[in-house]
Amino acid sequence: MSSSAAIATTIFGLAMVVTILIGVLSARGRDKGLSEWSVSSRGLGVLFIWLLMAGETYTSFSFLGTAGWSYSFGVPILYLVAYLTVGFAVAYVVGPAIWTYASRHGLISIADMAEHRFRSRPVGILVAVIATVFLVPYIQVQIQGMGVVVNAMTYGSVDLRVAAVISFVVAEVFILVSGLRGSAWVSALKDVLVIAAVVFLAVYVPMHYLDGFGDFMHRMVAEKPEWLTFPGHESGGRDAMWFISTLLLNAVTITIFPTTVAGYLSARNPNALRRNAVLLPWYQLLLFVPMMIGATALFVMPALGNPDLALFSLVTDSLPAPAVAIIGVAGALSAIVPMSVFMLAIGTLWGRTLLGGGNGADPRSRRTGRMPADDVRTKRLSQLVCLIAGLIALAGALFYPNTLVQLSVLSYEGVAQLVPTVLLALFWRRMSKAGAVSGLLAGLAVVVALWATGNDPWHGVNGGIIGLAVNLAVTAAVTFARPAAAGPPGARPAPRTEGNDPAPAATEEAK
Amino acid sequence: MSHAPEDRGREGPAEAGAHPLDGLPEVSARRPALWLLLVPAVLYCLAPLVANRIEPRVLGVPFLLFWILAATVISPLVIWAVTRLDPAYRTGAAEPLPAERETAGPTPGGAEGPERPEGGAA
Repeated sequence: MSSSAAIATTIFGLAMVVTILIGVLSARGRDKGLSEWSVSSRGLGVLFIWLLMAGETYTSFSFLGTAGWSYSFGVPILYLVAYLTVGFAVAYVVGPAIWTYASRHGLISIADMAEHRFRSRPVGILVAVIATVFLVPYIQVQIQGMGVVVNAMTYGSVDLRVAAVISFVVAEVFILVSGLRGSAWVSALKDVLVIAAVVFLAVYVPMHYLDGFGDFMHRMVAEKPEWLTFPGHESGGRDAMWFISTLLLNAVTITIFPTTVAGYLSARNPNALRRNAVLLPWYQLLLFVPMMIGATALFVMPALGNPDLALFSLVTDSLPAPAVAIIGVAGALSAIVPMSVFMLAIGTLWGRTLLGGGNGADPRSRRTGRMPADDVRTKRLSQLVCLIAGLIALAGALFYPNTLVQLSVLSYEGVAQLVPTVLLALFWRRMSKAGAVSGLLAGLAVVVALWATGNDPWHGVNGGIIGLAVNLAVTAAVTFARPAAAGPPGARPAPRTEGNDPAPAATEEAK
Repeated sequence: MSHAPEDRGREGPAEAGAHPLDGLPEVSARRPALWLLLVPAVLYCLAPLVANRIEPRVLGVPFLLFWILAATVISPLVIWAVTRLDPAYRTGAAEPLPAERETAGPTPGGAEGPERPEGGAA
């Protein structure tokens, strides 16, 4: 091991210890219940929501894939900034809406919300299972991303697989102990490092390799104009249509991602979310930096074997070991924070809705009333699922690195099909259970069929948005054809006497 | 449908303590400012349609890139403008949910006034 590698490895090891300490200590003196673990007792203010949600959006993909796409394709990577920013505009309404519904009824996940909204535990279970199928591959992507980052930053002395196991252990330890609050605190460390590293790189890289930013732009225009307009360089049809359909689909979908929703639900009040819709887009400006560095690599290392390494190749090439290590730690934490929230979100989805007997909103479910003792059991189940989901993703990363990752390409398109059931249902009073379920299944079938037959994108249009269109059409058709048998809360003018609809009456009394 | 859970308050199962919605006012007024939230989507969607070229360069930055950068700076400013105009933000209200319109009912808690009025615009 060279001295550079030794320095970098030591700093990395220390950073992981600090991460675990921050994560574990953050839960000291806090409640031990499920709602503390899953949604921080709905007690986070503007700052922590910002840290947490910024932490979720700036993942290891930002360091690897963003630079890689920029290097390989050019401008199509701008879809990332576009959908995140538009997503925050959508979140201005969606965040407080989900917060309000979930807080009013004590709900902790999108499956929990769907179960309550349709008074049906099977609907909740369906949402939980579908979300899980599309989230586990995402965890694997983060674990593998961490492996790549750590391997690069330690000059190859830490093996990819060892790094994968380390990331899994670190994330699981603090997420199991501290829950979402642990992620928020680790995010604080992560965001400081990311901002420092990225701002530094923004200045340093163009100065070091070229004659500054002006020269970089000049050479891009003169030598690589293909990278600067749609559809980019050999981007496989990522043209204007692809850009628009993908940005619109992802902008809506990210607002109901189970991880985003965990952030929403942890807010103390709806204004903490509205204010973050103003503050979070500024963080996305940082995403332009890895894009610029990826493009700079075009001039420095024109024949990179793995484009995802564009950023880290320049970093290790040009900087001393301690600086490399700090940037590497920022990259590693960018994998660990989202990974931990994804695992927590899956645990939360399963813990109550699937294994914990539901939330009692389904008149056919046996679980009724408040059961504090059950709360601890439900939390234990959630933690168990959180661990198992992580183990599955880790096993995938170690033994089948390419199989599950293919599914992650479909993550957004798949989760998008939950939009009517989870989100539209809050705004459309008449939407029926039959409509929601049939739309959801039809949308998923379309997405999977398009993908399996190689038709995604279809004539440039994102397959997920086609699926969502079918989904909405079927939902509407079924809802209008078969009016709801058991409607949503308050679906009819005088529901107070209905036995199977206790929430409205209870709401009035509790005030 | 045979039996119904009777004594479940709005807190739902197993969540005790002060309720987060306590003291939050409701808004039922129209919120036309929310239409402004479409501005970011329009700006980005127009990028590949009207700005898909390198010239003219702005401060050396190719036009398409400049457009996207400008959209990324304008968008949070637009969302900020929405907060200034939105009665729900100014009173710190919960989000009105059409699916629950009947159940939300009158809110005596609203009499306590907004917890965090935020800013002088209110």
